[in-house]
Amino acid sequence: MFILVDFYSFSFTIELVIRYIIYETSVTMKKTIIPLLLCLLLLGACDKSTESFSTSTFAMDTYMKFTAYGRHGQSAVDEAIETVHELDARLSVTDSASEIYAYNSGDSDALGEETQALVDEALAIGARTDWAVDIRIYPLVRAWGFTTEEYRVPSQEEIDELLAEESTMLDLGAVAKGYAGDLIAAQMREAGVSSALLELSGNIHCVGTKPDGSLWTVAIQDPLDPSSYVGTVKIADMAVVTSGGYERHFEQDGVRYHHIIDPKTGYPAESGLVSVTVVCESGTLADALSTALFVMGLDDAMAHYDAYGDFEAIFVTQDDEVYITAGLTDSFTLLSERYVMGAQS
Amino acid sequence: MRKSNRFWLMLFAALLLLCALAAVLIALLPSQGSTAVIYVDGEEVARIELTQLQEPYELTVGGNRIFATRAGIAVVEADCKDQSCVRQGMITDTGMPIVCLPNRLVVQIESGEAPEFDAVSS
Repeated sequence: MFILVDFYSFSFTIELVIRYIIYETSVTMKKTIIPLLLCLLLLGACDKSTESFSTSTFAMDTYMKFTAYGRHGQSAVDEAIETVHELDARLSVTDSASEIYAYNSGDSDALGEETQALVDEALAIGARTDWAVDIRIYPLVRAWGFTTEEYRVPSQEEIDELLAEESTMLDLGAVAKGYAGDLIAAQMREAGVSSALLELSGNIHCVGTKPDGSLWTVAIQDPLDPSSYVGTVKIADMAVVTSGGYERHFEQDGVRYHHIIDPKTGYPAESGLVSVTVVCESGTLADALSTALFVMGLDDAMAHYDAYGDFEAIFVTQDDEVYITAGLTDSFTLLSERYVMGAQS
Repeated sequence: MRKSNRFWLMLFAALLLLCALAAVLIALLPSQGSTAVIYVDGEEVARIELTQLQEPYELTVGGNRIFATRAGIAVVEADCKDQSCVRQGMITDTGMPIVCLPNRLVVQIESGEAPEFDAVSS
């Protein structure tokens, strides 16, 4: 009898132990998964998908740097370098082997299909801005010496003559870098790159977001101090292009002449603005518009924004005021203490 | 507390400590050394450990005179017309490099403090 009872209690204990083991393993399964995930997370720090690949080059009269993230990064930045040199060889206004040079030398059939498409687009932007930017003013720009750095102030007679004659010459300087950014960004997206930063001198293009999914932060250079910044703008999949008289200029007899020539007057634009930054998807549009809006001045530029609305912009005036278009209210941050936000009209 | 529970708790704690340690290391490492690298036409011509400079250091690369201190590096003289590299002044972080286009010179801080933005539009 005693033995029997003992046997029962023994079997009962065995059953309990087995149940416990089953229960415990199911719990440990859960508990092992979490630490395993944690380990994976730690390993994620050296994950290939966030590895960055950078390359730089001198092209289109500027210094360019391309950075792409992820496993397609290296091939993407290598291809970008090729693209930009191929474009430079095709679009340069000073390289005697370029399509533009041949066209400017009188060969009206010199432009290939792609170059012609870019010329048409640049002319269309010229038309919509009432020719505040005009790729046909090359003879004027050349007269000022801005393409060769042999700076001079042309006589009023010379300027009047150049304004009067119909130009058959082209200078894609106002769109070439923006167009290059568009082309490279498109190539990268096609190659499967979801995160890249293209710095074509001061033209900034970004593909996607940063590798961690956050927005890119682009600083706007202070026109009066190259080591300081007006503010920052947060973006994804956008081009940011700034134009300002501070970029290239020369002085003669105490007068400062900058490189943004007003196509209507033939003189460096004096519109009350010291820099204009355009933010939009198309680098070509951003590039051309930043020049056009600079020439127009704040009021006309804002009117152009109201009429088209296909871009955003940041304006810095001679009076140290900063104006932004409505779409940038949340993404723009003023950094510099030199400037104040102008009252929105 | 069960023995297995305690085991996992310890493991969690150890992992957390490891993470914290890694974070601290990552945060501290770059500030240990700030390195400026000088390129001409894409080729590295000089590398200066800025943080190890006891006194200002000067060198001439082609037509550019370069001045480096513990705080940063600047081009102080250039034989070119546009002088934009000289106007840029001293760079102190890994943000914008100094570029002298005519001489194809690039001065860049490659390890060191990073700025609070990804790129500069100018």
